[in-house]
This record gives sequence, structure tokens and C-alpha cells, in this order.
Amino acid sequence: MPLSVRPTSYVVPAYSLTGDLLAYQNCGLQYRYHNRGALPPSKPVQLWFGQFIHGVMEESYRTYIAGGNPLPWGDSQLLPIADLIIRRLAARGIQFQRFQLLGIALERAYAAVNTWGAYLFPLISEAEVRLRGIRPLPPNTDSVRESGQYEVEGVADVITSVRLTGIADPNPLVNALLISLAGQAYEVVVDYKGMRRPSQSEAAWRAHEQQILTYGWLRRQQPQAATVRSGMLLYLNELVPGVEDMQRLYEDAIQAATPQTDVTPSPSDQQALRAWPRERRRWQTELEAWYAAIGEWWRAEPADRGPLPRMPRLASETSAEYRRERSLRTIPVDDERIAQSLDYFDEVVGAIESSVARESRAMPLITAWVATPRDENCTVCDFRTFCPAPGNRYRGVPEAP
Amino acid sequence: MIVWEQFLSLVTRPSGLARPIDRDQGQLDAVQAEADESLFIMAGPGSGKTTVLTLRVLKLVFVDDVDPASILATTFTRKAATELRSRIVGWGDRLRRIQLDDRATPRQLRTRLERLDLNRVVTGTLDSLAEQVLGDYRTPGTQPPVPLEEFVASALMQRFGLWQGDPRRDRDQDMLAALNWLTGDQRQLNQPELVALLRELRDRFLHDQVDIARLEGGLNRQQPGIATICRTIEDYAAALDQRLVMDFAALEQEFLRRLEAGQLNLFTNQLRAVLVDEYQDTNLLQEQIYFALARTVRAQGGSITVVGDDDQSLYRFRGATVELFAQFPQRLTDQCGITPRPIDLSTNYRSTANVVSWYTTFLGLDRPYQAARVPGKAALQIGRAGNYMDYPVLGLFRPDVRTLAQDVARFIAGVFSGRGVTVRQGNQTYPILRDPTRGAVGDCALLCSSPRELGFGDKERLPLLLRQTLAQLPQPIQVFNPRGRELRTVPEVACLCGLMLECIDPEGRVQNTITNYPPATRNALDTWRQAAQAFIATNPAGPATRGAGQLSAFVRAWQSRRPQSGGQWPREVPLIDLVYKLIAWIPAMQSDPEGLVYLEVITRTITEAPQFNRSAGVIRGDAERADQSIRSILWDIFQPLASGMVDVDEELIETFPRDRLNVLSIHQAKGLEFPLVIVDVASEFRIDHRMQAFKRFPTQGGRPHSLEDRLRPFSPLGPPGRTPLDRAFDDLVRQYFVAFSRSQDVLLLIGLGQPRGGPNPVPNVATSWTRARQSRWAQMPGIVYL
Repeated sequence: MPLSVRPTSYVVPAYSLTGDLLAYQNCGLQYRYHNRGALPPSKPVQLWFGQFIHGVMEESYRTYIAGGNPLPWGDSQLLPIADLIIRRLAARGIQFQRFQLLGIALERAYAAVNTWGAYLFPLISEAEVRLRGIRPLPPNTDSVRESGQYEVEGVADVITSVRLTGIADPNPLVNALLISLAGQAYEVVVDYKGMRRPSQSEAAWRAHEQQILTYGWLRRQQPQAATVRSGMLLYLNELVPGVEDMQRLYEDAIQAATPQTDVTPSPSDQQALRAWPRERRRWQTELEAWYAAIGEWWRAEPADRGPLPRMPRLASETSAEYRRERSLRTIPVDDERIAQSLDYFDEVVGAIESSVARESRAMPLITAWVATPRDENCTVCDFRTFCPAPGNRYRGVPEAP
Repeated sequence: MIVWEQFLSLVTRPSGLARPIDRDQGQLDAVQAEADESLFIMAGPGSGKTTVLTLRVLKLVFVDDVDPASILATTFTRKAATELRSRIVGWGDRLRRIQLDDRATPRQLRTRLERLDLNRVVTGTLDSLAEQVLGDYRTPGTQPPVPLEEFVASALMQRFGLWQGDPRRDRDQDMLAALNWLTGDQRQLNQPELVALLRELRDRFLHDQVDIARLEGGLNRQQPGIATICRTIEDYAAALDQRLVMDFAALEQEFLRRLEAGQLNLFTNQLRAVLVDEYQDTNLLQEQIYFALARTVRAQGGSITVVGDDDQSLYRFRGATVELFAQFPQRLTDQCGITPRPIDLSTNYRSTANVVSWYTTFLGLDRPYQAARVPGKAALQIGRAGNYMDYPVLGLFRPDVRTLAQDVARFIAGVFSGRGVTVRQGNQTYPILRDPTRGAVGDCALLCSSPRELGFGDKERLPLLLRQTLAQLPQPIQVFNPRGRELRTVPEVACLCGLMLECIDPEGRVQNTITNYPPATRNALDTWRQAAQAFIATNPAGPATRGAGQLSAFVRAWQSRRPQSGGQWPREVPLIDLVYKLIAWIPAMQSDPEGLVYLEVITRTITEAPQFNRSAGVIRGDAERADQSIRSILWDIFQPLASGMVDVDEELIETFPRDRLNVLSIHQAKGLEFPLVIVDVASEFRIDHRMQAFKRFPTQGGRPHSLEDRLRPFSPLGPPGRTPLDRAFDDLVRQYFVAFSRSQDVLLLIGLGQPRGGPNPVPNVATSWTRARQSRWAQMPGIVYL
């Protein structure tokens, strides 16, 4: 009689929407290094900004409900909150690396709190809501798990439970919900995104929808929750677009043969966007001077800092209404769409589990995890020089520095 | 929701969870207990405690209608917490689905089952729960707690504690004398040891709830350096506060403070059940947290359940106080007015009869040890079911460690790469071979008191010799032992760090200006540079081969600060960028799980360094600040890596590779089981050398025992009830009891001795010597020598 086989731990693996699903969709191998392992990204720009803006929104909400001043807020209310979040992130080893990032992050924090906070905060019933649910692993998954199940987890930034009246409301968030819910009263999941509104052709466009739909399903598992009928994404970069955001918007809305955005600019906004190639260089020069001013402002002792130097405006900027419209995306949540989204989640988890199984059977890690090269991802990838994916055009001997 | 009988049927029947708890009275009692009945469960090894904890939680939900969100279950490690949670949600979901699939399930129950959300059961380690709850229930404008990386904590202790004062505290003779007095060890401590000891004291002050004022007042005359120790620890704590970070002891202290102040009532008011695993390794601070929670759940009609085994308490050196487990019923009654029901889980389902017999005999050999155990505890019974081969316990003893390594390697290869190894006992033969389809060398573990490969004076220890011997076999076997090597000695680490040094500081120009580097650090850096130069000389292949000399060209470009693609050298280059470029030439750090663990340590050290030096980790290009930035990197990043202040985080190791031999410390092996367990009982003990006594047959208490004796008079715990020497012996008995009880099928004891004569006659608890200095080896159940 042979020896027993060492029993594996009974583990129901937990997969989060943001930390796992979206990261794996970007690239399997990069996901293994950064997310399953603990290799930090060398350029944590998105990590810092995403966490900063979420932190500011959450802390602003806490301050608001604890009896803070009515919105809009100025330096005296917002800067202490921003400072608190910057220090909190530094304590976690997450630091901004350039004043350019700090400046634009502060501008967006102002815009996000003062534009959306005023409407959103009064509607919030719960913030930072942990959501978890269990699902069977998809059939035929090459998994080493005895359990045959996996746990889905996520943290919804905000849950609102507005009782919608069906009449026009001055609150644009409520209005957007009215359209998507046709006057019914249900819960709404809201998620902040520290990024631009993706093009409809981008994987992120679909992924964000899946995220909301999955949150909707998870929320429905919670016994005390009302049914989620809609979700809302707030793309906060859109309120204060940067150079790269403007360039991408120009490409999506003006340059593309078929517009790649669902928000059609008004004639005057179109005109403003058409001016972008002419305006770009001058604005960049102005911005460079502003970054330097931000650096100087930040380096001063907090008590001596004076007012925050404000970002120079683009001479032909789009209207505030257009920026707000681009910032807000509503997603209807219904059974069919949830089911489709969950099928897709299952599929991705199945693929991750197969890689886990291959690695546990001693396959070299670099072949156990499938890299999916996409240029915009590979260009900043820390592992691009040795990633074996056939489409990786950055593979090769690194150059100094 | 359902009645007990239905629940029991779902749990026990083969079409349900197939867990026959009805055949084990202890398990049945523990699961069936009423929701308001508190339990004190003594669970021997392999007695199914995780199963019992899981089913108790599920019974509370399914039978007693306790809301899952009002159940809190904690355990000792993140891995154990993951497993407990997995069982609760996995098994719970299965029970739910079985009932939903049953057409006979009434509609009302069906609706409730559909709405049941077991994922809301709160699980985790106590630290992770404290972090979560303190974050969730904080007031606006305050920071959620940020737990601190070990290495950053050490760096902060060094910079803001030890290097303060005039004279600097690390040269303060009174303080050094007081530290020696506290530990009972007269050795002169080096910097990393000093830092580690001060951090240990800081933890102990909080864990044991030491009254600092009384400590200072009480000992000031006898040991004037005590005051300096207290100031050092205060300065360290202030540095943490300033950075908004907490070490784990502070996290627990803050959790207790806010619990007692009623500031977490929103959280505690919903609790109905608290379950605590591995309670034998609890400290006073943790006990006070659990008691605060127990008082709350009692007021809400709930209960507390603790599970543990005093015989498996291993963490005295981290502040665990085993008496808190042994005295739990009395302490809970006195402090919370709750009298828990004691329950024994005493049937072992893991090991063969011979293995159980071996370690139960071992546990009973030493009479004074019995007084340290929970009184009236039931003896362990053999319960393994099904057909299995009852192999005799094996011994493999050789006169020297090299021969020992060779013969152990031959045995492992025979079992896992060959046709098996047959042993005889009397007329009976026992073939030992791996499972032909699913078996692998990962089914075997070597357990040692320390898995370190190099000993004092860089002497080669058994784990290294075994690694080397296994690598030279016709069918080489690899070893998985990420804790075995000091980080600085790992070849890949030496190579990567050496390459970084050669790039940023060619020929050590800046390094040589640092005059106060500890000699060990300087030696390590020089060795790394040599390793890098040797590696460059091999002209290693990069990810694409476009001619020779690629690595050397890369390094030369860095040394001369001339970009390979032309143009100007940047004003700043983050060190981490350089790391990710260099690993292109080091495949082990791209694709090997162990290599990746080392890479994670290095990158973590780089990204965490700005916590104590804001500009650390960036190489400046401008002449005036270039040297300063390199000096900062040498101090803030390379010095911790070289001095041993940074170590591998075991929790990063997701799974043990199936194709490698696992080498583990006995502490690491806690909670694990392996079909074939090899326990190193005596590979270092040729003679009765006094310097090794603490590892095998102590002549006095060790550091943790001395710290207990010195500090507990100033703690509510009061002085320990047993002598330091007795506690040192107790700890050794527990350690080897845990080691032996990891085995499922085969237990092989190895060490120095005679091939047919057993271990050398050196007093040694692991080879069955009692503290009365008598060998009981001959009384152990029949061992077969290889």
C-alpha cells in the first residue's frame, strides 16, 4: 500500500472584482507578479491616484455626515482632508512621485467633492460596503481545489437608497436614475473611478459594467438589502481632464471615423475639442509652470503654504455640463445582464484557477500564467523585457538606465 | 431554521458533508452545544478541531438562527483563517444547496435559505479583525490603522529609539547591562540583535500589560538602564504615531482600549458568538480582548468558544502564555461570570496507530511535565479509519552529519524516485513507496528546530548538506526551504544585490566613505559585488540573444551614467526600475516560486524605505546630490538586507511545491500534516556540549523564560508558577510532540548516533530523556533502524 498523498488545504479561493478580475484581464502574468505575489509596480501612478481620490471622497462623506460645512468646500475644508489621505497612503508605502500628479489629484479632489459630493452625499445610505458571495467553480475548470467553489468579493464605494418620485428632480444623479429606473424605488450602487471614461471599444468599458452588475448580484445576496436596479460610475478624471485625457477624448470624439464615445458633444463642445491640437502645446507649457508652483507650495511648511495654486484652464475647454455628463455613467441592473456578467466572471476565475493548478504542479511560473500583451499595458509593464508572450514587442535585453 | 436532527443528518450522511461527528462524543457535544453555552475545547493533534469549529458555526446558523454577521471566528495565522473561512462558506453553501435541491423543503424554509448569506461570518486573525474594525468604526478626521512591515518597525526602532540620546543608546552601558539582565544572557549583542530585543520588549510590555511606572520604580536602583529601555521604546512608539502606523501589539492595544471605552459598540452590539482557535498561544492582551467580547456576547444571549491544546503551545518566545489556556475556565468565570463547559477532542484521525503510540508515549515520559498540562485532560486515542499500513516508527542514525545527509537523501530518493524502500520488523515487511499516480516528494517534510542551512561560523548544517546531496542524485530532487538561508547568502539575492551595487556605486566609491558600517554588512556587500562580477563574467543570456556582453554593457553604461540609447542620463532613476531590468538576466527571479519570494523581499525593502527616509530609493543624476542618494540607498536599503534585519515573509508562500522536499522549522509545521515526516532530533549532538544544551537538555531557563521572570511581577499575570528551567523543558517537550504528530503514515527520526544503536547517548528531550537525566529511549515503542 503506497503512502498517502498530502491533503491539500480546503480553500475556497476569494476573487475580488478590482484586485483580481480587472487585473487578470489586463494580463495574466502581470497579475501573478503584482497581485498574487507582492511585487510592487515601479510606477504606482494609478495606484496612488486611485486610492487618493477614493480616500478623499470617503473622508469627505464622513466629515459631511458628521456635521461638516455645506458644500461646496474650499481650501480650509478640503486641504486638511487631502493631507490626511496623502499621509495615510504614505504610511502604506504609497507615495506620489511627481508634483504633476499631486496638482492634478488635488484639482480633481476639489471637483469631485464639489460637483458630485453635493448631490451624492445626501443620498448615501452606506459607504465602503463589503460585498461577498459564493459561486461554484465553472465546470471543467482545471483546479486543484477540493471545494469546487469560489468566493466573489468587492467593496462598493457607495450604496444609495433613494425613494424616487418619478418627477423631474434638480439633482442630476436622481434624474439619471429616473431615466434608468423608470420611476421605481430601489438601491443603487455607486463606484468612483479615478480615470477617464473609457472608449466603448476598450476592455475597461465592458469590465466596469461587469463590475457594477456583479456588485448588484452580491448586494442581492445580503438579506437586509433592497434590490439593486441600477449602478452608477463616476469617472472623476472627466471633471478635470489632463493632457492625456484630452488627447484620448479628441481621438474618440473627433478623430475616429465612428465616434468611440457614447456622450455626444454639443456643437460648442465639438468646437472646443477641435481646437485641442492647436491648444495643446500652449497648455502644456502653462501646466509645466503650474507643476513647479505646486512643488513650491507643497515643499513649504503646511502652516506657510498659502492658497493652493490652481490649474491653468485650457483656453478652449469643454463645458462644465459636458464634463459632468462624461463623468457620469449609469448601468441598468437586471437579471439577464447579471447572469451574463457572472458567466464571464466564472470564466475568468476558471482561467485563473487553471494557472494556479499549473503552477502548483511545478510548471514554471512564466508559462503557467498566460500573458496577454496589449501595447498600452506593456509599455509600462515592469516585466516586458522577459515576458515570453508572442505579441510582446518589448522583449529583449534591457537598456540602461 | 431546521432542527438539530435534520442538521446532524445533513452533516453525517454520505450525500451531505459526510462528517461522522456522531461517532465522536467530543465532536458531537461541541457542535450540538446550545448557542448560549460557552465551551472550552481541548483538541489534541489531528482530532478534527477545524471541522468542529466549522460545524459549530454552521449549527449556530442553521439550527439556532444566529445571523451569520453576528459570528466572529479568529485563528492564529492568515492561512488558518483562510481555511476556516473556506470551510464555513464552502460547507455552508453545500448544506444550503442540498436543502434547496430537495423538493420536500417547505417554501418558508426555502425562502430563508435563499436569503442566507454565510459570507457575512466574520473570520480572520485577531490582528486583521482589529485592523478592519478600527478602520470601519473610526470617526471622521482620524486615520484607519496601518500595520507596519516588520523591517520598517526594526528600522524605526533603530533610528528613533536606539540611535537617540547622548551617548547614543546603543553605547549606553547601563542600558546594555539591563538588557543582559532581562534576558539572562551575558553576550554582547550586535545591532540587529539589539533592535530585535528592544522590539520584543516593546511587544511584551503590551502583551503582558506591564505597568511601566511600577517597572521603572521597582528596578531603577537594581538596574538603572531600565529607564533608558523605557525611553527607547517610548521614542519608537512616538515615531510610529508620527507616521500614522502601528505595530501589531499597538493595534491590539488600541482595539482593547476602544472596546473597553464602548467606542466599538456598533460592532460589538451585533455579536452573538465568538470562537477562538489556537487559544494556547494567546497572550494577556489578547485574552483581555476576548474577555471584553465575551462579556458583550453574554449580555446578548450568546457564547464564547475557545479551542486549543496546551501540549502544542509553541509561541512563548512571542509572548504566548500557556497558563491562560490551562486556567481558562477559572479566569473566564472570575472575570466574565461565564462558566464554560470543558470538552475533550481526544481521538486522533490523522496518524497511524504506531505514530500515535510513539508521541503519546513521548508525552507521558517526563513526570514533571504532567504538572504543566491541563488537569484531567483525556489521553489521545487512535481513530484513523480505513485501510492503512501501520509502519513502525523508523530511526536513521549515523556517526557524522555528512553520512547522515547521504543516507537520508538515499532514503528519500528510494521512496519518491525509486521503487520504494522496504523495512522489516520481525517477520513483517513494510514497503514504503509514493502513491504511483499522485504522490510526489512534496508528501515529505524534514522538520528541524531550525531550518537554517548554515550554523555558527558558517558551519554547514544538515538542511544544506541534504540540499547538496539531493541535487547530486542521478534524478536530482530540489529542496524548498526559503527560511533556511540567510537572505544575504542566497545566490540569487547575492547576484541581484551585487549587480545593483556595481551599477550604482562602481568599485564602492561611496560605500568606502561610510566608516561606521558594521563589519558584517561591509563583508556582505563585498561578497555580493564579487558574486555579481563572477556572474557578469559568465556572460549570462538575457531574454533575447543579440550578441555577447549584454549584461556587462548594461552595467558599464550605468557605471559611466551614459544611457545606452543616447541622450542625457535622467535626473532621477528609482532603484526599483533597476531591479526589474536586472532580473531579465536572472531567470530564477522570473519563474521560480522561491526566487520570487526573495525578489519580493528585496522590492519590499526598497518601497518601504521612504517610511523612514523620504528620499530613499532614488538614484539622483545631478552631481551634487548623486553621492548622497547612493549613501542613503546603502544605509536604508542595503544595510537592512545585508544585516539580517529583513527576512522572508512566510505568508507570501502560497503553496508548498509538490516537486520539492519541504524543509521546515517545527514552528512553521504547526497545523500541517505530511504522509512522511522526518524529524531531525539530533543531527548536531555528538557530545554533551554546554553551548547546545538549550536546544536539547537545558541547564537553565532561556531568554523568554528570563523575560517572564523579570517582567511578570509588574504585570497582572504575576510571577510564573514554574521555574525557568522547568518551563524550558516543557517547551522542548511540546516542540517535539508537535513535530512527531505531523506525521500521517511514516515517522522517521534522524540524528547522530550508531546505525543500529540509536542516537548518541547525549541528554536530549527529543530522544526521550527525562529532565531527571534518564534516557527512556529503550522504553519507546519498537523503532526500526535504517
